[in-house]
Amino acid sequence: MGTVLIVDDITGNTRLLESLLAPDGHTVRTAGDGAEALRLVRSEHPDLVLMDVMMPRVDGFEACRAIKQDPGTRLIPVVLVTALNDTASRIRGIEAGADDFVSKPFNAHELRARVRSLLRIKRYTDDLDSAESVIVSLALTIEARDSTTHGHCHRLAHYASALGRTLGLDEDDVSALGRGGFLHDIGKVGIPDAVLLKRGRLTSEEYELIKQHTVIGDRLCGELRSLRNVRPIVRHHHERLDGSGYPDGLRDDAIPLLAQIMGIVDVFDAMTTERPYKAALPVARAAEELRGEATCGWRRADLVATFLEQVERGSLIPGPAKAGHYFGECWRPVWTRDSRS
Amino acid sequence: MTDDDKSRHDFKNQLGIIIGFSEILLAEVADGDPRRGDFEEIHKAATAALDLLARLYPERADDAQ
Repeated sequence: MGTVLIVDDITGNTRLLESLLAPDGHTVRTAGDGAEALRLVRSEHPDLVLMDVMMPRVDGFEACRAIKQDPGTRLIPVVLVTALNDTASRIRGIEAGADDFVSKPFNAHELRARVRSLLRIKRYTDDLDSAESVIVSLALTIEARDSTTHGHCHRLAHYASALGRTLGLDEDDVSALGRGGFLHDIGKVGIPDAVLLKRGRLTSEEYELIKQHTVIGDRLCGELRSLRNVRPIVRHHHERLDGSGYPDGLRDDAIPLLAQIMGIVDVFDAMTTERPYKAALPVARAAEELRGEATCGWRRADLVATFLEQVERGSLIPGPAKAGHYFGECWRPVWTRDSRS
Repeated sequence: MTDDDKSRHDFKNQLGIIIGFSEILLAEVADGDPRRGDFEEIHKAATAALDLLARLYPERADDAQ
């Protein structure tokens, strides 16, 4: 059971579909054309859209394409229900991103079975979104444990995705960098406060414990498909090109590029903000330190240079972007620091 | 889309509505209900009209699936 949006300019068709689906317990909403459908999809996020094709103003193909190109709505299944049976129309529908095609006049049993099946799949994807929300909320809670890291996740998400865009990376990688900014230190949930927030020098045992946050974080991301290109960032953002990093001592380009990018912006942000164990460095000094890390073989010089050009140009000032900017409009935090108190 | 394609599409839409609602009515009435026969006639006529439509406005050969 779920909310189904029926879109057709012929009211007889919308009433017919409503009469078939309402007795199965579904909540039905209707729209008379593609434009109204888009408005309702964006405001109400139905679980499924049954859409006619031949409609005035915005037809079903155009509306389907718009739904599927919007990150906030692309996971909503769209079924084109149409009296157009020709192959060319089916291909157009597939290219517009339709999840299924039903020909009119349709078989009522088949339509109801398809609706149930697609709603079941939608529930699975909703559960995955929930899992991701839990993980991001966890990341924000970890940041909140240490008052000196406030805003660290937001800044890293911004710096890393901006650097990725400047380097010409594709949108999937840029998106992974944004999400990696929030999730890179999620493994710190497994590190006790006494170690994580210690003001003095860490013992070697304490340092070994801190290093585990990369492995813990990798494990926490688990097998979520939506985080598969974020996991390497979480695990490898403390590696160094000469193999002296952790947890795996990777060398050179065995270190995933996205992790190298995150490593650079992470160390820059750490240097330029106050921490329990040190004061903040001025930007110019931090830039010098970062160039030094490239010279001594820890970081790629070209990546450091590109990043510092953006810093020195002043084009990296993060705005008020929130986690939802990187995780899609449907993302909602499970809990926040404020809601816990 | 040709005028014939449009006509076929629009006509099919209306027949689909008649067939669909007659099937809903048939599902709702008990076997002995006196209205059952009437609903069956509606369904039969609309289905026959659909066949007639396919003969009057055949789909083009390159549209066959």
